[in-house]
Amino acid sequence: MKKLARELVDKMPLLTVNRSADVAMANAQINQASIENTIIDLRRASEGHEPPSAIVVAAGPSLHRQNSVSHIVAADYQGTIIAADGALSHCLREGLIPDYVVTLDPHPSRIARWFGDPNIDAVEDDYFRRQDLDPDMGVNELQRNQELIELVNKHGPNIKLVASTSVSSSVTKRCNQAGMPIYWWNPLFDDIESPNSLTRQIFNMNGVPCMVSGGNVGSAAWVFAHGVLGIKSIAVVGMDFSYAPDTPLNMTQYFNEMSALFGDNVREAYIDVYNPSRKETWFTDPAYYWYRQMFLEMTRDADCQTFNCTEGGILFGKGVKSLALNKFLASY
Amino acid sequence: MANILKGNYKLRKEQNKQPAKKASPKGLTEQFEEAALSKLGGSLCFVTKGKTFVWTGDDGEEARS
Repeated sequence: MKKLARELVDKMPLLTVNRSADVAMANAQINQASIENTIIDLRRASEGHEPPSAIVVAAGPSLHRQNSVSHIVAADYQGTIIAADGALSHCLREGLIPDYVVTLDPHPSRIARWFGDPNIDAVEDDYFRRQDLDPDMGVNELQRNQELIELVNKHGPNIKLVASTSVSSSVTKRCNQAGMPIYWWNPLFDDIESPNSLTRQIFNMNGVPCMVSGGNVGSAAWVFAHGVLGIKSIAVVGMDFSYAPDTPLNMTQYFNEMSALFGDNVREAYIDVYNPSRKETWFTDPAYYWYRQMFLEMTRDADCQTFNCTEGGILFGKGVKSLALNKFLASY
Repeated sequence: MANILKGNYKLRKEQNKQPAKKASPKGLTEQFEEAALSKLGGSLCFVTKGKTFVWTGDDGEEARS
């Protein structure tokens, strides 16, 4: 790994706090009035008859490259489906209705788009044209948004939203409007034993249970499967933590910010990782690399089996077993 | 007389009277770097609780349901 990238990875916990903590606290205060149910209700409902397996559908590029969702639909998989918010639109278009959708990021406007945002009539933010999480959302944006509004309105009442109290009120309003039952959780921001712990302040304010997030919504979905539902065999798809080899740099999540910082040296801030089972070199940015390291750490600690059925990306190592999705579907 | 005028207190040692230096204003480059860096973080930070993935309060506390 290049020195510049290493320095950024090391700074990632602090940078994340700087980026999100204040707005997450403010959002938690706003969301307090909407809290009726929490993840404890889901844990109680699951106790004693935990589902034998689950598939976590994250929104990495392999989800589309490998057509993972259509394989799940074709196999008529009967286990639990837990989708990251960014994967919901693709799932619904492919006819896969998740049991749960997890949402975490406090961004004020972008996250509501993953549920179809009825409040946009023009698209000024180019984020959805630049992202690789759901390429379909980047073309004919207003039309796609309208289609997604209708899909979420139709299926929302049958999908449980597992929402961090950090999310914007725009997400809360949209999901309430679509009739999605919401189950809340607080993300663990810091050590609850430390003086002035932000996590403890929020817990004291709203009494909502706190869950490790892993820093990103895909990881949080895995934590939910294991830590709340108690599922022992969990497959992940679309969990790339990286960009496909042919991805232009300007289509990566943090390109604008890193380009502004490093100019012509921006490529130095990315990290190349060779995936031995795919025999491909994928590349990632410091934030995604940090997520990957944290995810592997969590899976090593967990009392469950984690199968990486992404068939791409950089998630491999102790704690995760790589497995073709079709083999997982045939076994579970 | 000298005894009467003698103070019953001690003068504090002369402090360094140089005014405290104000932090030098951040250069434009530094400000720019900080602003850009602040956008590079993840969705939310991650803190482990050992093998505990969900925390519902200390003994005597109970998270709501």
